[in-house]
Formats: sequence, C-alpha cells, structure tokens
Amino acid sequence: MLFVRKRYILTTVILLLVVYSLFHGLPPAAETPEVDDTEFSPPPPPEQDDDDRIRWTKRPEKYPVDSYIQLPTAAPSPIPQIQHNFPSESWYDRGQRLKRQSAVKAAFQHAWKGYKRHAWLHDELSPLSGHNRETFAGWAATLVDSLDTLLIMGMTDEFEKALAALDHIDFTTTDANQINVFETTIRYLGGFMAAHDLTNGKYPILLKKAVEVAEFLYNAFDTRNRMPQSRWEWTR
Amino acid sequence: MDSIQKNTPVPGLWPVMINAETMQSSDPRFTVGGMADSMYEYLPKEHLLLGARTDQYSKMYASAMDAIKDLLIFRGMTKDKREVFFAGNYNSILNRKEDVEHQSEHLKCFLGGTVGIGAKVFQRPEELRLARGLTEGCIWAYDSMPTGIMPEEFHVSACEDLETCKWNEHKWYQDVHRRLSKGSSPDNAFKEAKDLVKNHGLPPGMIDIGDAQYLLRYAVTSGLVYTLTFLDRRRLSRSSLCTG
Repeated sequence: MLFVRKRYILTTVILLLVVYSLFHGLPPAAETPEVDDTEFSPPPPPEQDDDDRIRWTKRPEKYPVDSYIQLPTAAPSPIPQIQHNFPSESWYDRGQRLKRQSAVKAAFQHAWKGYKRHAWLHDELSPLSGHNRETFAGWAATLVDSLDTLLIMGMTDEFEKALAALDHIDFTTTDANQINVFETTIRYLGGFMAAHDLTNGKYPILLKKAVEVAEFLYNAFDTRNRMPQSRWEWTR
Repeated sequence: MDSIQKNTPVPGLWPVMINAETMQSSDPRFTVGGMADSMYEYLPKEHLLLGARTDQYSKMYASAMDAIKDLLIFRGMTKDKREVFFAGNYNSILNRKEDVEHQSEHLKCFLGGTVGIGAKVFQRPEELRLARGLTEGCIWAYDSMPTGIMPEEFHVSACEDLETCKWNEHKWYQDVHRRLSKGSSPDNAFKEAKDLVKNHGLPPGMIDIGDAQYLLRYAVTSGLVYTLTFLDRRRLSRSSLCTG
C-alpha cells in the first residue's frame, strides 16, 4: 500500500517539474507594448539667439591636399571566412537569447526615457542629479550617437522623433573653445553615418548633417602633414 | 605611422605619444591599452575596409603582432588553471626586456577579438589560441570580482611561461608583497602579504587593483562579440558575462 502511494507522489512530482521547466523555457510571448509616454514629449529647443555668436565659415586652406592616395578600385580580394560554422540554434537557446535581448532593450529604453526627460538636445544626462551637461561641444551627442541603436532595436517612432530634432543642431558654432576631434568624429560623424547606412539613405537629413559636421571638422586636418590636431581651437 | 613602425625603441610597436608634426617621439611607454589600443585594433579592420586589396595593413599587423607576442604577452596564474593571457606594458627606459609590467586594464579587452580577426583574415591560425586566451583573461577578471565586474586597471601574478602554470599560493603572496609592501622584515612578509590581500580585496591571482572603478567601458563587449564570431561559445569559460 505504502509502495503504491509513493509511486504516485514521485510521478506527480516529476510531471510537475517537467511541465514547469517546459513553460519556464518557452520563448517570451510577443512583447508587451511600450508604456505609452506620449503624455511626455520633449520640450521644443530654446529659441536660437543669433547675435554675437562666432560662427565657423568655410575659408581657403593653408595646406591643401595636392594629391590623394588612390583607394583600390578593383573588386575585393577573397577574404578568408572569419565566422565559425555554428550549428543551428536550438529552440531552448533561442528562448534564452530572446529573453536576454528583451532585457537589453528594456535597459536602453529606460536610459533613453531619462535622456528625453532631463537632457533632450543636450550632450549628456547626469543620472544622479537629473541635470545635463555639455561634454562634446553641445550638439546633442547622446541623441546623435544613439540614432543607430534606436534603429537596431526597432524603435522607429523614437528614431523619427529624434530625426525631427536634428534640424535644431547648429554645427557652425559651439560654446566650447576646443573641439575634441576624435570624439566629434566617432560620435557625431559616426552617429550620422551609421544611421544613414542602416536606413539605406532613406532620410536625407542624416547625410546633410553628416556633411555639416564633416565640413566643420575638416579644418582640423589643415596641417602641414594633414595629421589632425587632436584638440582643435576652432575660433583661431 | 607605417614609416616609423620599425624605427621605434620597440620595432613593431608605437610609443604612446608621437609628435604628429615631426613624427618624432621621446616617449618610452609602450602599451596596447589606453591611448594606443585603436591603432592596433584598426590594422585588420582597415585591411577589410579596403577589400583586402593592399598589403600595407597586413605587414603592419604582422610587425605589431611579432612585437606583442615577443615582448608583451604573459600568462596569468589562476587558481583554476584557466589559460589566461594578458598583454603587459613596457617602458623602454625603465624596463629590461624580461621585466614587462604585468598589468592589464579594461581597455585591453579588445585585443582577443582583434587577434582572432587577424588570425582568420591574415591566415595566422596559430594565433587563435592566443586570441581565446586574451578574451579568457578578461572573462576571468570579471569573474574574479565580488560584483562580477572587472576593475578598470590591475596587476596580475604572472606564470613562468605560457605553456604550463600551476597555482602557487606562495608565489601569489610574494608577488603581492613585492608590489604593495611598504617595507617590512622578511619574517613578517607572509603575514603582511595576507593583510594586504585582505585590505585591498585582492582576488586570487591579482596582486594590485590600481583602479577599481567601472567606467561603462564597452571594450570587453567588443572583444567578446568578435571572439564569439570565430569561436563557439562553448569553448569559452562559463561565465555570467557570456555563456552562463
């Protein structure tokens, strides 16, 4: 008698565990919709005050390039395969991956919300104080740098809201005395180019802004051997 | 940069600071970490961007790798005998060639990815092991800390050679003592080392944590992502970082 009861209990426990682990391992359901934060929309940028700002203007170069090194024009040479030949993803692995991907996206959405609320069109959010700061010449570094992330994560609405703000960025002037050429290149030029590339040129403003940054930055390369100044005093 | 690469105090490596106007340098510091990392990282990438149609980057990469392997690479002594490699720092004025500084930092965590890409693209398969070991070094550093996040900058107890490395607790304490001791009598050295380990929060294998900050660096992600393109993740140590 005791033996029979024990067997039922054991079977039941095993069945419960199997069912539990099956459900636990399931890939996440279709994403729950984003919290609707349209009650919050980023404030319009402050009115541009045009008087008395020093503006960069294009002028003839001191050391213009007289000849360019030719880029290779032939078709690419065969490149050995870098990627390992991976086995196809199991159902369980896929579930794990999607779960983790959701967590990453949620972290970004949290950060993006903070930027919109406290630092829209500024360079950086100061997360502890809730203020903002201009650390990269004040051209909305976080916004530009995040354009490709918004695209990769499929946050197209947010991306288009960010695009709409781009016209307010004026790359002919800044309050900063010195431009960090490296940071400006990787974050601004890189940000616009990445977004332009990922959208296959669908949004002309991205290329337009990229050219604006590039024209401004190009002057830092106006040196005897064309190596750029790393901290460029653009007003001199 | 190509023109000066073979004429520096460490041919193949560039010093940290170079006068961009004259291409001269009196800087004795050689590293693949901060202020130098991208130079090395972009050698294989530029080659790829140019459709593998030039020799230039392949030659520069080969030169750099010879110097890195010859001078900077060392193996870290770990308790679980993981094969972990690091690229140390070298000062051409202060150090003898055998005395590379056994330092590592978050910014160096790109290197495993770069060496792996380079191994595939330039057909140097013998360096895949180095690539994996370098990434493993960063994984180990993450796993060693109580937060699971590696320090910005630290020093390691190094093995005698790259091939075999048994955990030697005595050696670890000796290295800690040599690195951190303010001077004590030899009798107290062992006790002092133990105190130093406790007070500095040193996990086994680390002999100094110069900067315990986490600066939102993405170098380890970059190194890992690249490593995981050419390596099945099951060949990397299980870690909450990537495989767990």
